[in-house]
Amino acid sequence: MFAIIAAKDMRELARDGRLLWAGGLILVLLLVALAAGWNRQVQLNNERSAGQALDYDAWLHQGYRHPHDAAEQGMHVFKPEPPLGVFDPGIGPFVGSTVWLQAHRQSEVKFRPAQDATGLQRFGELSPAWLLQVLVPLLIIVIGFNSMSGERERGTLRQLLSLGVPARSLLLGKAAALASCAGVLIAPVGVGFAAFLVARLPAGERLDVVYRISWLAAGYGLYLGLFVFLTLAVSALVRSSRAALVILLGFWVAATLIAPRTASEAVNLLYPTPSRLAFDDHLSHDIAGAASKAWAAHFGARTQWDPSLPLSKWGAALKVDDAAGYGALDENFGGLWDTFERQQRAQEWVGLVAPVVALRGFSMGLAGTDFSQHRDFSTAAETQRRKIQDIVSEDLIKHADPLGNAHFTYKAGPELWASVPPFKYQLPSVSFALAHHWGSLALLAVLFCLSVALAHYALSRPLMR
Amino acid sequence: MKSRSLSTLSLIIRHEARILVRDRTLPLVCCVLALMVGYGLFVGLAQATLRDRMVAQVAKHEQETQRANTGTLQSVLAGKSALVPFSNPANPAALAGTLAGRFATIPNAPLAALAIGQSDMMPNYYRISYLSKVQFMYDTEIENPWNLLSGHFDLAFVIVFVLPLLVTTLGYNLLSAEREHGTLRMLCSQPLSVPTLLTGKIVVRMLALLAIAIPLPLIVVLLIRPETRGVEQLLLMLSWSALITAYTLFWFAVAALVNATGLSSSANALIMVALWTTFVLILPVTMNLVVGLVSPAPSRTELASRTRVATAESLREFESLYSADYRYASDPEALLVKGERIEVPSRMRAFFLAKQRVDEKIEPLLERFDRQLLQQQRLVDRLSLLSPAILVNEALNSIAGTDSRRFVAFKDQTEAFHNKWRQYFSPRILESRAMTAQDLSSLPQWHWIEIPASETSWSIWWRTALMLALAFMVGGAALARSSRSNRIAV
Amino acid sequence: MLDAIAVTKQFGAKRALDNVSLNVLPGEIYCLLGANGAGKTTLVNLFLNFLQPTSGSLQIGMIDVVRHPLETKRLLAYIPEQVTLYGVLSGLENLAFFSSLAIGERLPRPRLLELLEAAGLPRQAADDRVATYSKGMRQKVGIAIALAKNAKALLLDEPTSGLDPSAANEFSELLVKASNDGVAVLTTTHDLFHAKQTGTRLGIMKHGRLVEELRSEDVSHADLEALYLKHMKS
Ligand SMILES: Nc1ncnc2c1ncn2[C@@H]1O[C@H](COP(=O)(O)OP(=O)(O)OP(=O)(O)O)[C@@H](O)[C@H]1O
Ligand SMILES: [Mg+2]
Repeated sequence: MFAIIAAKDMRELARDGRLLWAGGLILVLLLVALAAGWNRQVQLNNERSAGQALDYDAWLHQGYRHPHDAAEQGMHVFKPEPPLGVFDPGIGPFVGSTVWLQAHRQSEVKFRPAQDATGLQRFGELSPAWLLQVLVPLLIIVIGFNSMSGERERGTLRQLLSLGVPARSLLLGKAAALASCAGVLIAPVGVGFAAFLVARLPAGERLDVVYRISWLAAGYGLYLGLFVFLTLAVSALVRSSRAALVILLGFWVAATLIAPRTASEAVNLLYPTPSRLAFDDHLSHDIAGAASKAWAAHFGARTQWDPSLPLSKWGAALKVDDAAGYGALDENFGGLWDTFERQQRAQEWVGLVAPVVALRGFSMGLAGTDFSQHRDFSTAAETQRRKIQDIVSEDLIKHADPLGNAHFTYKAGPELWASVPPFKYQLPSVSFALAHHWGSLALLAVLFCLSVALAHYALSRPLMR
Repeated sequence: MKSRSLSTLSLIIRHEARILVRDRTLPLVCCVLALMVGYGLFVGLAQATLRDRMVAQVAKHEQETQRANTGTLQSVLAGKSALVPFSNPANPAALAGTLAGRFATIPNAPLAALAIGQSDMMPNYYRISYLSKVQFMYDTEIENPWNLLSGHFDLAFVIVFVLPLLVTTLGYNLLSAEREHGTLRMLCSQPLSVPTLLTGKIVVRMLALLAIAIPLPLIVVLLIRPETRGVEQLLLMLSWSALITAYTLFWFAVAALVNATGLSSSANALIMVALWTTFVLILPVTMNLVVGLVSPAPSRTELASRTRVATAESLREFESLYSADYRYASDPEALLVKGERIEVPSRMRAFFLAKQRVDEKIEPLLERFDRQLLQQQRLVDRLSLLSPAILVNEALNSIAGTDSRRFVAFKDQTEAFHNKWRQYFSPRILESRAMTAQDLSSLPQWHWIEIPASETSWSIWWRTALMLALAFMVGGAALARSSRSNRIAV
Repeated sequence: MLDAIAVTKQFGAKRALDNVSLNVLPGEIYCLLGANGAGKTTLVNLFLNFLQPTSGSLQIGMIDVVRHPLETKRLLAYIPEQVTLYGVLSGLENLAFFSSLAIGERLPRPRLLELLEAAGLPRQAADDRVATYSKGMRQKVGIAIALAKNAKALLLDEPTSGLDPSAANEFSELLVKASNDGVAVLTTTHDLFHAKQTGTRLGIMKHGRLVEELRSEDVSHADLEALYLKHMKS
């Protein structure tokens, strides 16, 4: 029974201009977004892996040099773009991808693409994820708002009910028609692109990406399904098509445009972000405090770099000084990043009324472009920096410290450079992302069930009033 | 004849106002708008205050450092203080670097609360020292990237995104509701032209919206921020009001045109939402992509590689200075000021020179970035003609002084100041001249030079004029169409 | 007063009016009869300039309807089958609005009440919201609007359909009164009895053509019915 209804609805929708125009536009945008994203990603990844290899090569072949100066030149490392970044660039435009690992500076990820862009960037990024999160729900509303109310207004509902069509079949049929219209648009492109992407990956990474894609499909399925059932429910509950349209559009605007901004403003009040100045001051205060304690403990010196400390101890002093700073760095940056993560988790509750907020976090997480995965990279880069620093200090203790005033004439050679391993960063696996985002998926599932229940209630009420 | 049609118009206006108040649409929409404008303004004010406070803090910091340096210098000169090369203000290399405590700051423009623009992403101060540009010019303000992605709920958002939606709510069924309800036949059997009817309906709705959107923020800003009370600011506020009026008028004109097609209310609503989505969502996002494709920023990876090469080369160039004997730990006396001279440790001299050399080498590349960004901005200016939303957004940011142009100017001025800073110290370091108390009080000072008002007002007014022209064009088409349209009543 | 001169109206391939000429003099009540789809409403719409004729012309008081729509509308009043008013306003407010639109000045409240009374609306209903009115009451506000306008010509499209017999009678009386004051009345109807009773002239339309015109005093009720049915059958 429901198949007949679905087939009839689909035929109607196919003959209607709305689906053709809106769907066509979305399809074109989807293809453009995928092509542009893919192009950008390939270029960036090539550039970055080449840059990083060159950089390491230069590190190895820097010739004879004082180790501390070598640490000054440092090393650049680049964040690899995750394969699904094409689908959802996430926070990518607003965080950098380059870290210069230098002595005595916490490695900060620099060069945010948004800084190299114009103010237009703030309108958003044309990505497949954006299209699916914002425009496809609109499409569902636009083609589905009158699927029940229209039948009632035309009087065909009377006809259907008099034939004894059960409400359940009506609901399923109409939902199937709406969903397949959206599906027909998205699925071929999605499946095609997924196959293309997976085929281009090295065999070792394929499985992980396939898992990620399937989870993404589940998340987006729930999200779009929610809109399908919500549209049907409102269309059945409301007196006229016009009212249904106005209510649904109002919900769409509030949920996809207004709620995310309001949410981020609100959590900023709840967990305030420190200003850079305050953060820097706090950090240097903590480092200085930790350092003076360490200096006092190890060398009996009153201050950092106290003149009483002979140059022959500077290697050891560097080591002590750096090690004292690690704790303060970890604490301050950790605290800041925890604040960011707390802010995001708090926002996800807004997902209860604005499903796009929940979906956005989930989508970024599984695409590998969310903050937790960015943090993972930053931590890895910092670990590498400390590795360099420690190796250098150790070498200074061994070689430069006995030299007295000629401390800086010491020159290390290629063996020391080679003892620093190349920076190899492994993108976190899908389980890392799921551990961070299962809550959003659960929220989406709950919302989906609620919308199904609402639609069921709406259709099982007496339909002819 | 003319007075007759004017009195008809005023009759329609009064009648519409009464109907809209009675059926509670207008109070509801106005409340929503007032709430949103209020909240957007609150967010803008909070951000502006935050940044004000930051600039004040930076200034305080700078003064404190200055005071500390002067104190240390005195005790150093009196021979009271133990000497560490990096913290001796008599040493020009130390003062140029770690002790500098200099900042370049950009103050908020007086109307900053009206739009957050790029100000949440661009730093409003840089820490100046002899470090190379790549080391300090890319520091950014701390902000959760997720929040940057979401964007702020500021007044500009309310105006660019939400206001057209409220216009749509009030205007999608200007004529279609009357037709569907049947009153249009009654109206059209009276000596009343459809253009007059449309005009009257739009005037009421527009006045109601503008009566909230324009005075509310201006009054609040005038009350809270005294710096907004100058003539120049009042002119800016005037242009701000004109811009918003033009933008609102444009959307009402679109609504009128859609209504003049004679379709049903639902169809009108769909068309309006489609247009809104196209102008406000799709076009800007697509254009962002186009700008990136047509005029891509140079590669940051390349910049990183070049920086590495330049750093390595300058390390090599000043190799002998870097590895010179270092006897200051065992012989602090060597650091005493002798006459007007002081021995600048060669390693510190090396740092200074090496950083300077790095900048010289990567300067061309950095310039390419700046040029590219400028070119992108020009492209945006041209493309913005395609979407009123971009046009208005850019102009709103200009008025608030939070547009990229102002931040680019800030960057340029900072770079110039950074060079000046170095030039001041360069001879002193090379000639080992000790810093005196007098020098300390005559260090290069940072002054922000505001972009000329004429430039800003030009960029605002042409956008406003364009917006108005667009609104009148669409509106004219709508009125012409509605007067010709013969099936409107049937 | 109301003149249609060789009017043809084409909707795509469909010819709704075919060379119709008709003329209603001041003081006359002209009743248009005809089957569904004969073109009666189309003719009324043409006089209102809601539609434009494909060929031919229409005049009200010798003024061309298409060329001077606002002037001609000042001369005429129109009462549709469904008088639609603003539901959130009272009958009095509706009358105040439409009458000031029509005559360009605001009538004082006592005058408005007088007009409503003349149209037969109960005094106590004048300040109730129109949303609570019955069809007949709304019709009466429509009549009051026409009265306020002091129109020279009256256009009515099936004004009595859906009214109860006594309301319909009252309505007819008002029409007669208006025509006695020199107003030209053009009304469409399916009610042969009332047409004969109140009309001074009758026209029968068929497939867009005016096939019969006669004075009502020249025929009896029975003749009229026979004539009408004959036209419909052939
Ligand atoms: N806007 C229109 N577009 C196309 N055809 C129309 C239009 N209006 C009327 N018609 C056609 O013109 C013909 C005359 O219609 P009209 O409404 O004038 O009939 P009528 O005599 O008033 O009928 P009724 O007694 O049912 O009111 C009909 O066949 C109708 O289908
Ligand atoms: Mg009719």
